[in-house]
Amino acid sequence: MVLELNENITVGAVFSHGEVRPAWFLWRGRKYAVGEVTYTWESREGEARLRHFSVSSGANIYTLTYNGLACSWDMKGVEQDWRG
Amino acid sequence: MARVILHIDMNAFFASVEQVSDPRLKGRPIAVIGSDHRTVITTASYEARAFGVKTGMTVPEARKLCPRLIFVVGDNRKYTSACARIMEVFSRYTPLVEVFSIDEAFLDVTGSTLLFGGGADIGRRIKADIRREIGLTCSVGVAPNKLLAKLASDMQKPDGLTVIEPGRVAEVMEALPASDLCGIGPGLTLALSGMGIKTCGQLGRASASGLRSRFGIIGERLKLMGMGADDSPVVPQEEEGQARSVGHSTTLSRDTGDKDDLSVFLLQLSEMVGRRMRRNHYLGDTVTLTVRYSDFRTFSQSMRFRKPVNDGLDIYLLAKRLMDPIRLSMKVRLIGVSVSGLVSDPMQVSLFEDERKRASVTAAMDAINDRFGEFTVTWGSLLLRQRRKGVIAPAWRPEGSRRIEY
Repeated sequence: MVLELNENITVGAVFSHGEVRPAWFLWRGRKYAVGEVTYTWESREGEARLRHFSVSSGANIYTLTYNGLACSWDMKGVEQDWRG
Repeated sequence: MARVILHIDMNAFFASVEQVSDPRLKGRPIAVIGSDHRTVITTASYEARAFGVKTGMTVPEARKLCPRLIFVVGDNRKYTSACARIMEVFSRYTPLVEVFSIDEAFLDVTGSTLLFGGGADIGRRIKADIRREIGLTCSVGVAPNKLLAKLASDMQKPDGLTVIEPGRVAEVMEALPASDLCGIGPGLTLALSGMGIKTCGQLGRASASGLRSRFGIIGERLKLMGMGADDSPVVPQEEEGQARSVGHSTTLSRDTGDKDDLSVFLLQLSEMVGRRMRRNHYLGDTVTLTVRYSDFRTFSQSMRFRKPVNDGLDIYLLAKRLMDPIRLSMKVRLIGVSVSGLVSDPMQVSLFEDERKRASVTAAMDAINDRFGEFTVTWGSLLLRQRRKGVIAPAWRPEGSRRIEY
């Protein structure tokens, strides 16, 4: 089941060689370690280039979005374990 | 020298992207759908296809065939981004790339073989690059022309690579059903069958005059197709001709016969059309309104401006003039607006002050929306319209006038 969100969050990320990789995020009072970045894609919103990351943490997949213009991270959605 | 053409077909593209994005979906039957409750299946994974699930089926139809089918609401931004990355891979091997649809492309690699090896080698390298960098598989067809390359890519799915050598064309075509050729649909297949033509071999040997008298101008082309001949070039996007029309349509979340409701959709669609025309420096003089009833009966009506325009309000007012006199015989399922008769915008400043003022307002709105995103500034009557994730148009291209941001 997909839970669509649009919440500004704090993310710890590694910026290296022009690439960015989220390592952990704080969401609703809890810290989540990023297991695997399963997919990345880009889109634009006006001048802002958005980089989206599907990341696994525990049994769920989270979509994190980095806005380079605003230097901000958003939690866009959670795909909860559909087997549960 | 024989040309070397590749046709590359991404396997179950949207579903594969979703399976890469969420590895828990790998190996499972999944179907990508729209966010609307009236949605249909846009792509099914190969695991779902094994149960008979196909594109275009409704959710209940598909669930009946495969009760364990997992439905995933598609995200066009994921697919357009993946497509752009795939095109970047292609561009490493040749500048001659023709985007056929969001998940298919033709590449002319004739001039690249000295650098990268033969067509099959280039096909293998592209497959490896796409798998390593994007995690997706594709089927590649290698042949001396586009018709045969497409045929070849269809021969091994998923994750195949098929080469049709120039010297083997007649042998490949001999027993191949004519319906396997791109462009020969069910109607044409039936008509050919009525002439005793079932295979490409038979089609290639048929009399040109007989085919011409039955099918008119395409008769000779059919004979050439049967022979596996096709001299059409791979046309990169920058060499494509000017767009003929710019349009948007939307399937409503529920059928409605309320013209006030429909007017709001018309305004939104007109704004989208105008914005896309201005971005690509087009003016157009003919507005076409398309209406599809709930029973899928569809009709269009057109009207011309006295002079070409690209302002969303002008387009809307004419579209509304087209809609107002229509007596709807039932509720409407889909509505569309398009503008044709396109010419390049000479960007001429109007002599009249009110027109200059309106152009200034439009330019200011465009600047704000360019900076902060579509519909940041728009008509008050559109504020209550919720934006939905739509289904991507087959005409989408990574660049140019057919690129639509979602």
